Amino acid sequence: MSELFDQFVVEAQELLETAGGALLALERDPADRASVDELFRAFHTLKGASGLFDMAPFTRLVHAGEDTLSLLRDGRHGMTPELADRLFRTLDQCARWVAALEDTGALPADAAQAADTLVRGLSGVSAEGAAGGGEAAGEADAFPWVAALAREDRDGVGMAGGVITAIDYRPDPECFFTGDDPLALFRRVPDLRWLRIEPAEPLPALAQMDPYRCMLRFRALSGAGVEAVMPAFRSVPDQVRIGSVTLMPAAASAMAQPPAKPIAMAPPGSLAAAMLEEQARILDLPGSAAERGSRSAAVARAVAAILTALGRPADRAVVAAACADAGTLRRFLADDPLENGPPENGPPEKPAVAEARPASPRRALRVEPERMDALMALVGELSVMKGQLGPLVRRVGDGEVTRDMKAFSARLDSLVGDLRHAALRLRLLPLARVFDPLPRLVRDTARRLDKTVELVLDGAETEADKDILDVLGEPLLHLVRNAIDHGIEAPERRAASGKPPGGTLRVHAFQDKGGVVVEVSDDGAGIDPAAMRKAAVAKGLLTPDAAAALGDDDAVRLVFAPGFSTAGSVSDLSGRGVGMDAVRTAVERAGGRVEIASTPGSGTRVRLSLPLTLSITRVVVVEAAGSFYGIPVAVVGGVQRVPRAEIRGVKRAESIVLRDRVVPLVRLRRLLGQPPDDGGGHGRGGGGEADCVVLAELSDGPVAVAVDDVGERADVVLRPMTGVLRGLRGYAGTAVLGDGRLILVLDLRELL
Amino acid sequence: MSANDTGGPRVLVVDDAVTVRAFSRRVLEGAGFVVDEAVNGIEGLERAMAVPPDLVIVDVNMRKMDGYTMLRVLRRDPVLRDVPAIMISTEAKDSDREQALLAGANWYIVKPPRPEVLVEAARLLTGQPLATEGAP
Repeated sequence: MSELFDQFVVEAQELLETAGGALLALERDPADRASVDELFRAFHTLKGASGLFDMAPFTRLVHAGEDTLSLLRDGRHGMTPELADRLFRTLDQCARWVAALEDTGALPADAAQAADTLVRGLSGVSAEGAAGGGEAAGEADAFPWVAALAREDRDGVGMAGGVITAIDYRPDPECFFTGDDPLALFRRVPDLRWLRIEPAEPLPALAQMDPYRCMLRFRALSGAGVEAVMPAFRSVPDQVRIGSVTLMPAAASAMAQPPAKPIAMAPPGSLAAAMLEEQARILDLPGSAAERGSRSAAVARAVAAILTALGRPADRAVVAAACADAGTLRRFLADDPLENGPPENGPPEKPAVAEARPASPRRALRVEPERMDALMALVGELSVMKGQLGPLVRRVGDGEVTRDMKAFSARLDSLVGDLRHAALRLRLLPLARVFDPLPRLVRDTARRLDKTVELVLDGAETEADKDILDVLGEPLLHLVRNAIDHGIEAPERRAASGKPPGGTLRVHAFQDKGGVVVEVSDDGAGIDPAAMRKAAVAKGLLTPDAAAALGDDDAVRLVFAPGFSTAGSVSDLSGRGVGMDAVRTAVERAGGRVEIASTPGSGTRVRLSLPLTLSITRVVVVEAAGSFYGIPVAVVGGVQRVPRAEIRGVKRAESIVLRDRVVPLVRLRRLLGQPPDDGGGHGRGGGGEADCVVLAELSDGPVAVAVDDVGERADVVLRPMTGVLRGLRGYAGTAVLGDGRLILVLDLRELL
Repeated sequence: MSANDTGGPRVLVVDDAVTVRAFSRRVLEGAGFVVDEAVNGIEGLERAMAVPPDLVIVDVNMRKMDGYTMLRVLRRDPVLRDVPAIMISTEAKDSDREQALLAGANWYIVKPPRPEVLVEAARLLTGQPLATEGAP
């Protein structure tokens, strides 16, 4: 039970995601059949799957959604923003429920009530749709005359057991004056199987009859799908009803009503014919490429079996090729009619692909995070062990054995390197995961604010570690929301400043320097530095003098200042600021960086730079007072030797000038509570005339960190401090270098 | 299970109702099929994976895993994806038939099935000659 339940939770999440995407696509292009089908199927599957469990409100809600979508699918209701809203709300509700199911195993107490409200909204739509259709919903009910067809008519249609398209057309009595020719419309109906023309009402007496009025009702059946039939009646949508109905096959109807004739007396081939037609129809059913692929494989096998049973075995490959689509199969079966003799010629034109494996979407394997972590830890330890092998080999001395061991050690080196790389890649996922919610967010936010925003997503295929994606998700939502809320102006205002009324929001991800970068840029109002200064003073964050001394870039950067965003009225500034310090905090905690650039009047760009992974950190190894430490490369802006003479000291505070900026200088020894290096240090950087300086780029500005020496850069598996050490501030964790040395990795933000 | 492994086509009957299973077994074994049973979709999949059948006949409503789900999973299995499937249900509505086909069924039979219809459908879908009565 519980495994199946877990499976449901996962499947439901996937389905809801798929449905959300399809709904967005559908709203953009209401004629998008594939999306309607996809959406319908998602609801349908959710209904079936949820029915397995005790969650009636859930099932009821998705059932209602399914009903509504069937109206959309059959063209009985069009897509409107209101309908989209209702469906989005339905999906949201389901997502919340699934989250609750995952957490607690049950729906929340108010689920029934919530379902009622949403179901009412959805069935309102269904009612409209049905009203527009003129008769009650439900396909079989909508065309009662189909079921009432006489047996001869039924046989004439020749699609026993198959789904056919029913057409019920009552032309406008004045149609002759509007240029419609009712009968001509039927000439355009593909695969017309049956047509009956009758008076729409009892005809009046001949004397009262107006020959210029059309008083007919046209009913017809077509073997083509609803979509194929629809175009013929495009000019008279209000006078026609089109829908698909199943014509019960003779055999099937017999099954429903006992008794039936014994098997020996059944008309030869009748069940077989119905079954073959059904196989063709199955090929027409909607579904993903994978579903259709496996259905067509099953159909091919069934068709081959039926033909064999009928004593006319066919080559499997030929049958499989004929099962490419319904039309091909029908043609194939028509060329090999059951009534006539054996086929003289082989199959008709051979479809290009003979049961080609469907291009299935890349399927992800779900792996427990703990197992991944265990693998990474093992890989880390393996690296360490391998590192110790080198010195050991050197100690063996010379000789053939040593040479072999060296070669062996070198191969091991490269294998371990590859393994480490592969293990790291296992954790990488495309950023599409965090991009997925954005279209919906943009749609909703823009709709709420009456703005028009086009979202451009770039680089969704860029990969990063799952942990990084988790870090990225929230901030990204925040940035996008802010950009629409505060960045992009209302259409009138944009028009007034000569911009197109619709704003453009671009989210662009790419890989850079072993990390991943996501930029969120808009063509909105930008941030006015003057307004930022004023606001900072008003909030008491800066003195008027300090504010005035701020450069424009620094003033804009104030949006990240803690406390700046908490004020409620920042939206009055033509800037942004809601929760920006939260964005910064989240990104920096993951070893990343946030930058912002804004041009008043033409837009803002926020750039998040993050490492590829949290589990492997690239560090610069530095030495201080005889111990080795790591500084994450993400915060290192450069490494440099600075002559002592250039260090200015004011009391205990020191500073240097780097790239025309005055940068405060701190000594790592002092930060770590070690005795100062008084000229006789171990490192090459000691000795009085120059200091080794690592420039740390922190969001509050750069800081120069003086160290005794700077060593190599290394990729390390960072292990957080555990036990009593967890309380230590200033350390991101410990790591083991390739040669087995243990280092402490510094968290400069906390240390400074 | 009385699998008389004498070469008849193997039919897996998946139904939670013991009566239905017994009925199907009698009818199908009488026509020379080898019949295997399962009480729900999960068990059905397990049986099918253990011994791939030539045909599955699946009920819709079953506890633990219903027939739709079972067919969907079956259609995703590399070995079993093309095994012909009949779905059998009390519902006679078009939409139910549609659902069965969407899930991967090749044919739909309304319950309760007439023995001769069941046998004919099973023969057709396993490629057994219709003419011969008795053992195919």
